[in-house]
Parts: sequence; C-alpha cells; structure tokens
Amino acid sequence: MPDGPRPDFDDFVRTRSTGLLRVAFLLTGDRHAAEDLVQEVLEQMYVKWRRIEGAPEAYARRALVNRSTNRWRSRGRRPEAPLAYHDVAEPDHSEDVAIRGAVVDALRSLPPRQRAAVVLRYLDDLPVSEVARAMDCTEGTVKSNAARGLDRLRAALAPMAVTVITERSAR
Amino acid sequence: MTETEIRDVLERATSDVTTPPDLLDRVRAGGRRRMIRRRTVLAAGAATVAAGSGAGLLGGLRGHDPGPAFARLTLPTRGDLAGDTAYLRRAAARWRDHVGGDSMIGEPHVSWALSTPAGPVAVVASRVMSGPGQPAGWTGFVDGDRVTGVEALRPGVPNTEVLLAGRDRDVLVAVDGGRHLEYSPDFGYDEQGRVRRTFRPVILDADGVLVARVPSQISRLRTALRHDHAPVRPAGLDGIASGPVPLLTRLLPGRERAWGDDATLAPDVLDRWELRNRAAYLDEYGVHHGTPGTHWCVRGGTPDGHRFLVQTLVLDSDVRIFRTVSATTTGTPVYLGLLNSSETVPVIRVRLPNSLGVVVAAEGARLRYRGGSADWLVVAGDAALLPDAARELEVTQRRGRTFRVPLS
Repeated sequence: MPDGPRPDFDDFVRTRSTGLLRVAFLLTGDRHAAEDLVQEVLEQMYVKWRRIEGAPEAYARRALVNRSTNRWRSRGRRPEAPLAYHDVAEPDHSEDVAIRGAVVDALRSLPPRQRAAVVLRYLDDLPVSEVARAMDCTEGTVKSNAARGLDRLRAALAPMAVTVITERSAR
Repeated sequence: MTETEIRDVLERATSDVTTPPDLLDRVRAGGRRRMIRRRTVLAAGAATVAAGSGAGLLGGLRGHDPGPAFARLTLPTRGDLAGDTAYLRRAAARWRDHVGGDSMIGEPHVSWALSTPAGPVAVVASRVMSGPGQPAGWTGFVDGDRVTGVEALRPGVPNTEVLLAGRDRDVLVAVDGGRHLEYSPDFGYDEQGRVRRTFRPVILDADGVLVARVPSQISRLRTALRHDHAPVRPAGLDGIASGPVPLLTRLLPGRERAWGDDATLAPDVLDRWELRNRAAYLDEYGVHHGTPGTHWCVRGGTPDGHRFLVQTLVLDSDVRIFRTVSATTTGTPVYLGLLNSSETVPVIRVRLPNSLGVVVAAEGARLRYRGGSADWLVVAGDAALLPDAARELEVTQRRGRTFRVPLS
C-alpha cells in the first residue's frame, strides 16, 4: 500500500467516525456541516496518518474543535439553517427530534469554546485533561468553560427538563 | 438538570446521527486527492527555487492558484511595527500554529503590525490551495498570543477590519478595508424606550490605521460599528455570542372579549402591538447576549373590553418594560423604564391606567395577592390581571423560596 496510510486507518474510520460525527453535529448544529467537517478532518488524517503521534482520536477531536471554531467565526452573521430543514420528524421519534432541536438551539447560543467544552465533557464523557488537549488550553480553562456552558445550557433546557425526566422515569 | 440528565439529553439528541455508508470511500478518495495536490505543490515550489525566482513563494505558485490579488496578501506590511522583524516572525508563527494546515501555501503575510495600549496587534493573511467556490485563504488578527476574527478570503467579500483588542476589549483597532466605517461608543434609550446611538466616522491615519481607547467591555458590548447602515461586527468578541432571545407568552383568560377569538386574530394586528421585531426598539448595530434574558409578552383583556399587552424587551441585562392599552384595534406603547435588575427573580407588575387593574407575571411561580385586607387570594397560573385594589403580591418560586413585592 504505497500511496495510503496503514490498514488501521480504515478500522479507525469504521469504528470512530460515528462518535466523531456526533461531536461534530453538536459543535456545528447542522448535520450536513458536521458530515463535511468530519470528512475534512479524516481526509487530513489520511494524508498524515503515519505521522500522527499519540491517539488518533485525540488528534481528530482537536482538529474538529479547531475547524468548527473557525467555521463559526468565518460564518459571521450568516444564519445557520434551522435543523428542521434537514431533519424530518418521524412519528416514532418525535420526542427525540424535539429534544434534538432544543439541544441544538441551546448549544448554538453558547460561545464556541463553552460549546466545545460541554460537548466533549458531557457527550464524549472525556476527562478534563483530554478536553484540555482537544481545546489546546489549560484544565482550568476547560473547567470554567464547561461550568459556564453547563449553566447556560441548563437555563436554556429548563423548560424541557420535566418532560425528559418524566420520560426517563417511565422507561 | 443534573449532569447525568445533561449527558442523557446530549446522547438522545445525537442518537440517530450515524455516518453515511460511503464515508470511508469518500475519505480515502479525498485523502488521495490531497496527497496528489500536496506533491504538486512541493514540486512546484522546488521548481521555483531551482529557477532562482526572486518572486517569493506566492509569486512562484501563482500558476497553480491564480486567486485574486487580495490586498492583505500582497501589499507591504504597514503600521509602526512594520520594521520589527522579530515581532513579524512571532505573529506569523502564531498564525501558522492556529490556522495553518497542509493546504497553506507559503508563509503567512502580516498586512499591519501595530503597537497598541493592549499590546502588539497584527493583521495576518495566508493563502491556501483552493478550488472553485473555496476560499483563497484566511485572514484575521493576532492580538497578543490570541488569534481571533479568522475569516475566509473570498473575491468581492470584505473582511472584518476592526478588532476590540485586549482582555478588556478596551482598545479599538481599525485598519483600512476600503470601507467608510462609523463608530458608536455606547447606546441608550429615548423616552419611548427606543434604542438610540450616535455614530461618528472612523478616521484612519496615513498608514490606514486607527487605534483608540474605548471603555472596558468584558461581558457586555456597548460599542457598535456600521458601514452603509449595515452592522459591522468587530473581531475579538470571543465569549460574547449573540443569538435569539427566548419569548415567554402568556394569554390571559378573558382576552377574547377584547381581542376576539385567537384563531381568527390576524397576525398583522398583533404585529402592530408587539415591539420585539421593530427596528427602532432593537440595537440593530450592536452585539448582545441572546441569553439568559427572556422577552415577556402578556396579552389580555379587561372586563370592560380594553385590549392590553404588557411586554418586555431584553438587551443584555437591560429589561425594558412597556404597556399598551386600547379600546380599539391599535394602541400606543408606553415605556415604563427598566425592570429592577437587582431582583434575583424578575417579577413583572404593571398597573394599567384608569384603574383597569394590575398585570403581574413571574415565570413558573405560584402567585397570591391581597388588597387592603389580610386575606391572600390565589392566582391561577404565573401571570394574571389583578383587580386595581391589589396592593401586594406574594411570589413562590419553583424551588420554594417565597417573597413579597408591593403593587404600588
């Protein structure tokens, strides 16, 4: 295989891309943008796969955070398309679709670094040190960003908290 | 919500997000294309060097990437630090660390290098390999060690030429972007509760630069910029995210006798009453937090058939409160001032004119009121029109804290 990375690159894409896509989805708030972002990062990793030091997933996370932040900045004032344009609610999943809409809206209201800290810490369940590596900052910065982001997320999601809790307890 | 519940909500929000089945094929195809491009660029660079070209890397690659001659990529460095090669190297290195990638062509170019009261600031641009519809490069600011305001370079699209520099955002840095900008240091409200700003021109020096002290703006932004009556968002606003403000609407019982059936109420009737979409009441040029404030809109009717609407408009921590009362289909909003920001729980209480009653609201709270007597009367819901005789309101929050406010 002279012109490509090791075969374990394929395994990495197969096993890790869904998790990365979910992170990218919450970072961008847009499924198509998330797919583009993940593909872009994986293509970049394909090129330098042999030279990536450490865990490839950590590299990918860092690239996702960097690129999503830059995308957010470069979009400037251009409004993002509402989720409803991309995702059609199916009757069986209407509750989850509503939750997704509320979560995406709430995350969009956070500054990018607070959003990244919350998503990596609470969706990916990463320790603070790993989040700090992904965000290229100190652990203290991660903690403050995550705490502030979590407070704002709680406030934004408060109206749906009762529904979610009720449904969970009924499962 | 507990952290576990937040985790659960995030998981559920992404539970059906899965990768397309052909992702691996697309990644491998795209990766191979990138490798080929990379080799082409390296070969072209080597050929240029071998030919002894003095045109520099950008000139050497022009044949492969004939992007437009963006001023930020081509003009000589300006500013009082233009001759400080150590700083130029440092700024370019910081930019490369933050923005650089495989697709960057050549070295970042520093268009302006300035000393400011907040420390040195550079405007930097770099070119990337691009195809149709893709950006020709990236540009932005290096403010101390921070890279901010990163934007794509696209033909015909202006790039942000203003930065609020420093940790306190107390230094305005503007560079020549070919547009005549206007600057407003602060905003206020007129007697009708409309936002008022005064703009003055941004005047650049011979180097195409303005560096000016402005008031510290850490958590909220007072300044605004515009060009041709369109807002210009400065760079350096990390941590200040603007977004939609949530709306809380309460439709009070008995409104039908004044407004008619909700189902037949024409939207343009409400548009004439509601202020939240009217430009004069918004800060069209400023940047404000979308949260945590909430617009309120309490609509009802009095027993004698008057329509009323009590509404709040939020700008950062300012909550302006308005009432409109009318016996006809149109009404004039009356600005009542700012809601008391020292209260931990916002409680709306607005006395209507001509003894028509008192409108009260407190999100999610249980309410009781009383008049001159000692008897407390329970309110249904968290918003209501109370009789004019009501003198005191008791508010019990969701978490159980109870407090009383006068209804003077």
